[in-house]
Amino acid sequence: MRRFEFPKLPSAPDLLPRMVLLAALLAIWQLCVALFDIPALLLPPPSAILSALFADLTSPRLLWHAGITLWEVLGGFLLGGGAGLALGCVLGRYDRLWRLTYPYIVAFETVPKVAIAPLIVVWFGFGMNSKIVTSALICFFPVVANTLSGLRTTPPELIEMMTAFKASPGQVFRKARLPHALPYVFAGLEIGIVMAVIGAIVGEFVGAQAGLGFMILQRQFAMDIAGVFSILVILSAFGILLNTLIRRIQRTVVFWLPSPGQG
Amino acid sequence: MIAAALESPARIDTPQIDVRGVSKRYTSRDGSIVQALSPVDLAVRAREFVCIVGPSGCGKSTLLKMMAGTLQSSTGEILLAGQPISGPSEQVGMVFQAPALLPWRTVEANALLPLELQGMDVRAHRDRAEKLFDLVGLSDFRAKYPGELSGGMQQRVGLVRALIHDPALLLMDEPFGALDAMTRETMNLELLRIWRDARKTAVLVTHSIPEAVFLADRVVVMSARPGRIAEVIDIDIPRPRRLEMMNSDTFGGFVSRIRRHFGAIGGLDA
Repeated sequence: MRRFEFPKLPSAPDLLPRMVLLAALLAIWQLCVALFDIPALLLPPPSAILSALFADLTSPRLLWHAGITLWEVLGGFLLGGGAGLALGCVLGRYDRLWRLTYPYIVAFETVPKVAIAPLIVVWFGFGMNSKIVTSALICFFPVVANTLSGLRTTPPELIEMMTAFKASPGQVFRKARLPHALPYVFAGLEIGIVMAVIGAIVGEFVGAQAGLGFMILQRQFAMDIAGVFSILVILSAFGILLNTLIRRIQRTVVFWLPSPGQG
Repeated sequence: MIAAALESPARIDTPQIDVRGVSKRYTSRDGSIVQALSPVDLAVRAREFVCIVGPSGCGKSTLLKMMAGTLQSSTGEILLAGQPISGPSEQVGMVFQAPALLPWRTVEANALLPLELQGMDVRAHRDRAEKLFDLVGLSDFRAKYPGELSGGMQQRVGLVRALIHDPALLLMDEPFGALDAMTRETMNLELLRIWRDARKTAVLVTHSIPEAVFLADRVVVMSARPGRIAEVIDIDIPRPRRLEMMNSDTFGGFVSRIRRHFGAIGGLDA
């Protein structure tokens, strides 16, 4: 198994044009706001957002809120992703169970999870638990679906080979189908981690006393639009960080496949 | 005791595989019945090398899978060393058309897989594995992954895997079909050497008539629709066989005799 590699920074030739592009876009934005006299209440200039962001990153209060949301996201992801992987494995292993339950699973999958969020707050309260559950629910299905399709697409020649060498169905599952499914599982987890962020924020929108979603609402009420943007930047950084982490773990675990989009 | 004593002379003559009236019917998706293989009889002696050659759809792979115990016959029975086959057996080692290696396992872990699956002591077979890797020239590649190997090398790993648990019978389903002609000839030579050293019974399915003649003690010629055995030909070319023998008149005679069976249906597709 290959060693875990820490994320590399983009190489210098890539980095420079990217930074230039970002600076150019921000400059155009700044210019437009000034030129067309757009009120800061509608669209604050990047300079205002940057100073709000700087204030946020140095404020222990906001970092505490960010910590709460991060905790909810990770809790939801571990719960939902873990349960999704487990259910996917059980259904993939026992075909009869799959045939028995899949209409209900599909039915439950089609319910917009965001729409259940108010119910979940009723059941689990205004604290972190309801956010973790919402987050888990929303990232659960991509993981189930990907795990199942990974298990199902195991090349028949591998299964035939295992059977010819007297493998039991359990051995075929553990030694061929599950490892084959791992790249699919990781694709599901990659979607799942992004969904988990959405779940936590939605949960906080519905009813919370803390967290970045809660802060967005507070700042919106206070017409602090630059402050809202600042939180959006932090949330997007969360997404990038978590997604990159999953990809790195994937590259270590699924070492036999060339990783897509390297660099 | 007496019974055992009486049995033993008979056991010497017991064929390694005895195919008795075996046929295969499928029910296709539209409900019609397809006869993949008409009832066939075939006996393979211990340490014999038999090649089954025939066009696509003649049921040669079907027959091989039934010998491997991965496919049930519709009628008849197959005896393996006198015992009817009811499923995959540790007495069989199989080489597949696609190498069917597990990409997440090293070459060595792939080769040791049958031991692991059959609950045998993997460590006790390390020496044997080493010898087999030596035999196929892969000693330096044991720690590599299949993705780092060429097609010919992957098939060699498949061969080691098929032999690792020391089966009496080696079954091969078009093992070199995906290789280029040069690699294929090398692999044929190597296979003969391994077969002779390991003293196995071998049944190999192939599209290639020259390959069948080069390898076999007997060639079983099959024809399609419905799949059946058209002729069984003894190949009395002396062993050890060398590639130059493929240019001899005797060799050419066997090839054209087999080819005649397929003239009417447009020949083989390889």
